[in-house]
Amino acid sequence: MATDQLSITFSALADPTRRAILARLTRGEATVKELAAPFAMSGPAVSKHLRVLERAGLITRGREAQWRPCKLEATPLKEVAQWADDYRRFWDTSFSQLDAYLDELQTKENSK
Amino acid sequence: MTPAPAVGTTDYQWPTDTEFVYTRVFDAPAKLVYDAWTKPEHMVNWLGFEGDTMKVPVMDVRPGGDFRWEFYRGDSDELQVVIYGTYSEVREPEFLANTEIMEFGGMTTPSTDCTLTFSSEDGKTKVTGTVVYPDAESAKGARESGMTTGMDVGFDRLDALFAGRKS
Repeated sequence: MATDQLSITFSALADPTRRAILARLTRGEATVKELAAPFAMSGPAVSKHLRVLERAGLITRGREAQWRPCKLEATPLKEVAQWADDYRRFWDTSFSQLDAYLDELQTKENSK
Repeated sequence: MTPAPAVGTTDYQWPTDTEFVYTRVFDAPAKLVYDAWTKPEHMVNWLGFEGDTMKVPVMDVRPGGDFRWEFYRGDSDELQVVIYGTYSEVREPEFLANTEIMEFGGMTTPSTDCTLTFSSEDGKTKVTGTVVYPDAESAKGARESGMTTGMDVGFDRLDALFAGRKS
């Protein structure tokens, strides 16, 4: 079981219901009951998804009220997006550099 | 079969729910491309971000052998990226199989099973890389999280994620 933040975030995002919940929360805080409304799903089933999202740091839940409103936390998403960008840039850059380097090696080879 | 991409572009596919495949053609013989990928004196000349310094403390290219590649920002001692794993199959100059973990930005990928195939085509070399995720869930997370709508945090970029090479 992977425990690093990226794996946890990816796992949390892998489920369509959880993505829909996050999409709903971009419009503002909501209660479990409000979040459950669009799904053919019981309160406890939705609560289970919320615990996964909470563990991944993607949402926080109010402490004070019994209905504990859920709120989106964007930081892990930003980290994932940043990581994605860096990853792509890493290999794009490397492959372009390899094109150039192979040219250079072959030019040296040919001029011997 | 889709035709091989031209030199300078990378093609990518998700053939199954845990597997990602990329293809890129290099204008050089297979032996040279293989050497560029496996010999530290060549690797440090192309792998990594522009301007970074690459160090290869471990590169034991044989079945059961480990590798560790470290990338430092500029000439500093600030470690930016680490890629490490273990080779399981080595057939010079055509095939490599290994596990691979990549760390950067304080994050770590799940351990993936990777292969690299170098095949000669008209004096050029087609490199086919496969990356297999430990489970459908983490692959799906990497692949599909970009489909969420309503996010304003660059979710759309996630699809390009591990598929990444296409710009």
